[in-house]
Amino acid sequence: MKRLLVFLLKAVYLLPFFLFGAWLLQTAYFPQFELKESLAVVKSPAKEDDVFGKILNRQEAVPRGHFHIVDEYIAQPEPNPPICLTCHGTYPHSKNEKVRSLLNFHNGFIACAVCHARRERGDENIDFAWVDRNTGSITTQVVGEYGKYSAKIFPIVRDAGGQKKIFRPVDEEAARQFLKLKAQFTPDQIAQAKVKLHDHITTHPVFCSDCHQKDGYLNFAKLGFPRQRIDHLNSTEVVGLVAKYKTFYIPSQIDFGVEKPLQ
Amino acid sequence: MRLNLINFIIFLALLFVILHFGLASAQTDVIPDTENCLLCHRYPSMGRYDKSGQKRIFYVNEKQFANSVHGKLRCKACHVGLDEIPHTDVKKVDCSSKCHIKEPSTDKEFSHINMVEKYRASVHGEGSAKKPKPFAEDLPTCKYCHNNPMYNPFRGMWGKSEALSNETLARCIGCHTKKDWAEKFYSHFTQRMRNRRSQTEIIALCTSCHEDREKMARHGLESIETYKDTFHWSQVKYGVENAPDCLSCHVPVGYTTHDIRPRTDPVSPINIANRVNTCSNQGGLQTCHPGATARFATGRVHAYGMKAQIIAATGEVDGVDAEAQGLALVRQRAESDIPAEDIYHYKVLKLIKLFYQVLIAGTIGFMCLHQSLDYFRTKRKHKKSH
Repeated sequence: MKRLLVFLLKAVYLLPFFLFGAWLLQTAYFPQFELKESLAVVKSPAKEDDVFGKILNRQEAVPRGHFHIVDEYIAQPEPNPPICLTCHGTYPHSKNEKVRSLLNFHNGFIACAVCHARRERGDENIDFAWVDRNTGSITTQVVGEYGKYSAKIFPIVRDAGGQKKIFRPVDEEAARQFLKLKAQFTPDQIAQAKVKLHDHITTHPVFCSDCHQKDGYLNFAKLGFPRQRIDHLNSTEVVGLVAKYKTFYIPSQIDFGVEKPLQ
Repeated sequence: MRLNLINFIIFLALLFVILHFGLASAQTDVIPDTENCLLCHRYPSMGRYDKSGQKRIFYVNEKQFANSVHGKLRCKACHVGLDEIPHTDVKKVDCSSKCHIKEPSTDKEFSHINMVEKYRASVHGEGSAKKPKPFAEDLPTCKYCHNNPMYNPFRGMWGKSEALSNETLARCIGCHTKKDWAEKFYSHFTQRMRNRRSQTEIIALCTSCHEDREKMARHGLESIETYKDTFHWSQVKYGVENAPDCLSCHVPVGYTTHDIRPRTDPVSPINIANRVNTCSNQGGLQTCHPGATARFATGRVHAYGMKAQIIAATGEVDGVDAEAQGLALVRQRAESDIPAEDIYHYKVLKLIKLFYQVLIAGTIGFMCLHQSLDYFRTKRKHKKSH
């Protein structure tokens, strides 16, 4: 046993030297292998683009090729992202071609749960408030303009002690556990888990016209928007056209006003 | 009555202040969004994923756009067919179209058509209708190399001094009294004075394609990884001012990036007939190799690569299919590109390489053998002494 152990130790010690020697001999006496390696690229016909590989390797937050130079804001990490973004990404709306980009831009300053865990009419338990991006706490001090806010709107509930806390319709701990164990689940189990996770997610989310109207779903005044901006947000011209959608010609005369930082 | 007059004067003063600052800010930060595009496009999270999985960002930063070279254009000047939402009928931006701005030297509608035509005829162009290039999707589009460049801030012009810019501009405004126009013209002019990109940015852009071995092979080219073995690259790497990047040799003074030609083309700056001029950079700000002779200019800048290996390889290379895609093209180009003298050089270099490889392998091999023998001798001695 001891002799075997000594032999193995010696083998481990000498193996790198042998491999190195073999590699040197190969490059010295059989250089055509090197050439073969170079030619292997040419030899193979043009492959179909490796779409998934490209997606995986696309690291940059701001694509290099963006013609309009975009600022760093879009690449800012979100310290307290809703768990939804873990699976659904930054641009979660893709189905409705007519409004997907419009809905996605709301995603920058409104948490998914605001629209996708619809508060029923008369339900006083749920309210909406700004949650600071950095601290994760409810705040009224919001700076910024046009979607570049220091906070995001979340649904809020009061706990048993009367303290305000963020309403999270998806059990985040369970969601994390699911993501961890997903590889072990069968397709049926994954489907079951998804149904369970989205238990509190409504099938009829809040739409443009629900908010952008007088006394709409969100109370803009309570959220701290100035009067002039509220009038603009409640303008029905855009929302009406989108909701009734036939063909939407861009209105050129609508003045949505200059937004001042929220205070 | 007197009070009314004072009130009126105060009102006029206030009006002047409001208008003055209002207009001043409008000149720098706000674009005339007459088409109301910013209604949606000013929001940073505006975007979606397209069918290929590409992230499409539809955000436009208003202030940055206003200070860009296209800042005076309406969105629809470039993005044609944006009348409906969603923009399903939008056409691809065509840089050769007329954008309804008067070009001051001819007073005609401005267009990038001159550059686009040159580009189409260049080595990067898609070829003619009769003879289109294969794998057109590999070729760079306008947007691949260009973004919407920003005007330099005044302090950045001429390198350092804002005061110098102010003094120069003051001279312009003496005659060209419209300050907004003069500032724009000055910004445009000074922005074009020197290369906008650093050497490393230019190299990164060119190598993003030219180091892709698969892509290059599809076009019968070899990748230019060997540039990184050259003295030119070393200079760039260590931040030497005016160190030569790709454009220094491939687009020297008198040439344009849109008109890069293969080296076999007589007008190419790297064609053997033009190389002395290119190496010495005659007419440029600095003469790189002022005493360049014809012999000096024939030297290889990029190290020997795959083409030379193919040509120098004697007989059939085991397992390589000569008819394989790309290989025939590479071989064909190699035969016309590389003179017999270069192949001889390559063979000599290979022999020198082989000599060193054998020498190193022999030295290290002998060292290993010596150490092993020494180890066993010590062990035997140790055994005997016990």
